[in-house]
Amino acid sequence: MIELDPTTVFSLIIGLPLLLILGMGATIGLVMWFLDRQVRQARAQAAQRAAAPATERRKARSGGGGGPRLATSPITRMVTAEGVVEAAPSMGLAMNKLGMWIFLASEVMFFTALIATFVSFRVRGMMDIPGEALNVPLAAVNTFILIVSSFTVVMALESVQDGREGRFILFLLATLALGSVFIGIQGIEWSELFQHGVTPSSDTFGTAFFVLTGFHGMHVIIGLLWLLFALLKAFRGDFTRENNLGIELFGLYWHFVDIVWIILFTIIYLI
Amino acid sequence: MEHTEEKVQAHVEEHKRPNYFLVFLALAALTLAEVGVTFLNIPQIPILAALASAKIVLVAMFYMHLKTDSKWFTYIFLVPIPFVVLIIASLLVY
Repeated sequence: MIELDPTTVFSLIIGLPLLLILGMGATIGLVMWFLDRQVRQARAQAAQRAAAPATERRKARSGGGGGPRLATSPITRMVTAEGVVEAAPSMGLAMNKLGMWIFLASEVMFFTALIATFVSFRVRGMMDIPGEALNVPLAAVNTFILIVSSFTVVMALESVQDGREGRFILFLLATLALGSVFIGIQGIEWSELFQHGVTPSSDTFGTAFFVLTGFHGMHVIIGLLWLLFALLKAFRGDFTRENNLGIELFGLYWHFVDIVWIILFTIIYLI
Repeated sequence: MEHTEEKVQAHVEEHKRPNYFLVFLALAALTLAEVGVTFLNIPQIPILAALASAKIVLVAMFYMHLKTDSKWFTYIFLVPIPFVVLIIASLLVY
């Protein structure tokens, strides 16, 4: 094994993931830009051919110039001779959903950096797990609660897609309650750990544990705030059978937070 | 006629949807199995890793609709995997 001083190790832990996130973002951005451009150009050319008058088309076929030119920039609104035209999303994907998936991909990198550091410390024997301080049954209950909340979110989406508004709001309320219980139980667990002398500054385990569960908890709290906002909109009747992408996007975020907890529960409490 | 078409469409959509409750039951059972494994005197790490992976796949495929949605979303979600391997390898090897 190569011996490195702590400063280099720290720089690697912080710098490497950041570089990789930037690299991944740039790669995704470039690929999407290229594909987007290809699709738009093909569509614009097709539209151009269809819009050109018959005489122009005949002229074009005989090599005598083309029809009117269309703007092909990768934006959702295009200015043409007929006025402003709303362009259909390229690749047939909802752009908001695409953006959410790209965000989730970046979140994978973020949590990977934290989880890999925790695992690295454990594998090297750089931290002791305070077995008696960790409350595994309580964490298992919390895992179960988060799994139930994922179920209620997906049922809320199904309800709104079926136009069953009452059921939809009920499932959203259940998710809010379950998420709040999860945070409450995590608070109880943190206070138990404090009583056992495990704090963010007590030792390596304390730091790694509170950073991991703290960032995850912060994501749950952000999800709950988002859910409150969605509930307000739901009460106003903003979500309908046809318009429910907001709930689908929230669901994606919430399920991702659930996936992160599934990993944390395994590596912190069980292994 | 239109009414019948709507009904057929609703029926088709209903069949396309996975049984979310069944997925929930599977997730709950896998969680119980995870906790149960810790009490057994067997090599735990590979079993726990397999159980956790199964749970992640279930959530991603059915609750996040990757199984039925555009494959582009799956590709985007998988883009970080090589980087994930690189980060874990670099942290374990130095």
